[in-house]
Amino acid sequence: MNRKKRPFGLFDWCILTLVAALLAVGAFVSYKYTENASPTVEIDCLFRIPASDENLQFSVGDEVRNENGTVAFGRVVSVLQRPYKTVFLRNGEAVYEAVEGLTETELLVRMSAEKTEEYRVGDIRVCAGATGTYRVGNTLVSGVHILHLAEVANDD
Amino acid sequence: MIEPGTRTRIFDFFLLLLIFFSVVSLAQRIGSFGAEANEAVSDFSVQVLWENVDSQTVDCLAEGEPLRTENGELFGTVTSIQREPHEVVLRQEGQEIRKIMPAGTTEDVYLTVLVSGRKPEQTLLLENGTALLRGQTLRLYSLRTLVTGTVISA
Repeated sequence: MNRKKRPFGLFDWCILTLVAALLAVGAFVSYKYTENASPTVEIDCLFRIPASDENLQFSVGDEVRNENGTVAFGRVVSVLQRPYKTVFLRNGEAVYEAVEGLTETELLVRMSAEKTEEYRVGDIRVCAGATGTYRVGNTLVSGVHILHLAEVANDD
Repeated sequence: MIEPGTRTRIFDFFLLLLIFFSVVSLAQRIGSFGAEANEAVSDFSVQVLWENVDSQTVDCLAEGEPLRTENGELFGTVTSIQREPHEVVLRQEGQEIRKIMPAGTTEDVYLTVLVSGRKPEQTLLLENGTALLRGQTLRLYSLRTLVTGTVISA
């Protein structure tokens, strides 16, 4: 083949510069992402299980998972059960007192969460004020409300 | 002038395409800058009522915290948190009695949130163009809390 060899021109330099710039940007972005990998922290979440007349039994050490069991949040570190209180009208007076036979349960659950602009366990955002269905031990509980969230103080 | 025997290569076409798209996007960008300049973005205070919320949950929110939407977009910054006891209304035989819930149970929270946006007429438009209307329910996230509130003034 008799092809005329063209000299390395301005266009070729432009392309080369462009490729080099793209590579540099790619390297920078990948460096930033690996540098800023989100830290994992221990958090305590207070779960309130709605008042129920069922005899729900929870124990310290029970594992807490999401509804379909794919994400393990953590384990129960304390269980508090107390009579459910609400407002009644009695003799024309509003009184705040316990409802007979109804028990309210609060579970403190310790979990390892990824901290960014929020706390995440797996792909699930964990925050106070959220309500959901969870598996606690071998019980499926609906309407569980997260009351409080706090990072566990690190003594190191 | 193209020398005889010199052929246009595929690289040259790519470069021309690149230049073309760069010019087009630059022109669009300049156009959008112009449009934004006509409606200056400024800060507005929005009041949100977060009703019947547990006191322990309110403790998880602090002044100065940013609030984000479900997809992580910044909505605004909390500038004030006013906590008031939640009141329940009980009705019996035509009688209506109001009862304030005991301290440490549930509260009504009035949040003032500083948002960036434009107010071309009466409606507040956020930076992303969405309107913020009175009575609108918002689901906003801080670092530790989900705030489900109603806009009471915008």
